Amino acid sequence: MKKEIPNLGIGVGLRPVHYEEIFRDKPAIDWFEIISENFMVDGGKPLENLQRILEFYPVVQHGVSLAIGSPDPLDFDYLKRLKALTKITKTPWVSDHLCWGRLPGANYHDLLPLPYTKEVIDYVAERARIVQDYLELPFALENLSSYVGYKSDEMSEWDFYSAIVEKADIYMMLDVNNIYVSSRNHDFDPNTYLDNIPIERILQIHLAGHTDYDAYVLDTHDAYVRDEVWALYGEIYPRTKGVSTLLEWDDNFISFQQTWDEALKAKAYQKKLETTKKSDVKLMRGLIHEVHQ
Amino acid sequence: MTFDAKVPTELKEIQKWFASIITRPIDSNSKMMPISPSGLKMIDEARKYILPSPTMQADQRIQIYNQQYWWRLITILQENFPLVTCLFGYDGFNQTIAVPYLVKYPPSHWSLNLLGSTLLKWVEEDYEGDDKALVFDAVAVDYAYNDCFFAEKKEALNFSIVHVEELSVKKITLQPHVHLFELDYNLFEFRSKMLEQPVEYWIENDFPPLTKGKFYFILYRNRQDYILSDTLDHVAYQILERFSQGSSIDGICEWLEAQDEKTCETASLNMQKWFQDWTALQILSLE
Repeated sequence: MKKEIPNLGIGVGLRPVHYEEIFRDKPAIDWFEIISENFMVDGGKPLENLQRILEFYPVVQHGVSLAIGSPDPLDFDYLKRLKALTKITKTPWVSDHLCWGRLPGANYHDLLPLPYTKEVIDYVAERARIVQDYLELPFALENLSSYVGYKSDEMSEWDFYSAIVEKADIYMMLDVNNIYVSSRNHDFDPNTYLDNIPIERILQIHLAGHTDYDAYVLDTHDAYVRDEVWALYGEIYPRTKGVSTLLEWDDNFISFQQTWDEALKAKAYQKKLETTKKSDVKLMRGLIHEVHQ
Repeated sequence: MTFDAKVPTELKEIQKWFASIITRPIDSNSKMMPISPSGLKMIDEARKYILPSPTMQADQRIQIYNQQYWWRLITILQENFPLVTCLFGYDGFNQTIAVPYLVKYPPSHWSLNLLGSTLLKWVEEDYEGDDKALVFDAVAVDYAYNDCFFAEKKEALNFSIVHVEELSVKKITLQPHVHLFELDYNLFEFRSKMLEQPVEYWIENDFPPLTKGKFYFILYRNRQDYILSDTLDHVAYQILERFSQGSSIDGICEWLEAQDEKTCETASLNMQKWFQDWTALQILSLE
């Protein structure tokens, strides 16, 4: 890890439903995250809107289609387009998901979980290193919300995730909502996850809402961030030296101002907890409770 | 299309199995098929690969991915084909169009913008309803709107800076975002009326009238990148059709010389205005 990663502050995922409000009000938001693929087009309205956003805000690219653990060769046509977009956005880093989503000739348009094995670590880490080298930008992989565990798993998700980013010498795009969702679906303690990942590799944190169906929890990005997820954010943020934080909201949209207000709740945790030490867990939990009162 | 030479065998096998399960259609209650492709009960087959959780069996867990696959793709097709969805209603669209289409032409590209790129082909090959012609045209127009939104905009032809002699021989084309339609009814007016109401409205109510007759349309993106449609004169349509295949001004003149008197007269009366309009709209470019 050579490059200094900037802390952009608090951002929101840029979605077309909010364009009118953003262009009209020019809200004082720190930065926007875009879904890269929505702008990897030949032209038209999407790129025009992106140019208008870039006049006022830093933009970070987050992808959904790299599918790095897929069994087919890396798609360099896709990577070429992705890299071309980085020249337009001047994104300080690029992220995508630790998943698979393709077979040769087929694309499932989903973030499918990988088996947690040593062989898969080697396979994915090599590809992740190639992607980072090709893009010539810091590259981060995001942990998934997952709904299945494989019989062939040899280790925990956090050990698998950590091993890949270490071996590839890349970064973590840590989604704390996904940690919570997966902890419920796989019955593990989310704090154990946070205690066992290389904190220095986190370059960004994602927050989002989810839907609880009792038997399982679905990562829906269509609701306010749950208290349990804020609590995890409160646990992890102080351990970082301060990393960019982003709220994702993708369905059942509320106004941009309401979305931004929700994202700004993170600020309370950052201010109150920034001097808290990792060992002061009891104090930290008390402060989290206070923030929610 | 091949596998990466370094992919672990076990990973590849799990992925092939996983894909074979999640791409099978779900039933009307969103349940996965109870029998696996290999003939085993899904609950037994899923156990070979998937761990149960404290609250769910292995087959229930992979069913979540099976549902997500279909819900996601069908929703995108509904969004990209709003007129077709209005014609059938959500359930009708899903069962009659989306599911059989996706079974025959599952997505192969990372861009969801291309998800419906072969729907027209599918309608031509597989759709058997009495309204096949209308469905075919509705798919074509809906897809054109989608394509128009994302298509490239090349440098527009500017008659004031291109030399006249050069212009007479250089091939002119239409911008990639321009689509032309020759229809036996006013589908564009029908479409805009249909889209004024939610999809469910048309289950209970009669469709608006579909005016019969020969209609020629152009669909394009204007300077502000808004998508617009206009009706065209038949001769103007024919000239733009020739430009869509790449034609010089000389080529257009040669073609006109071979047409009937009425066509030539219409062209000579309107040609200057048409070119002024097309230049102002920036729909022409040099090949």
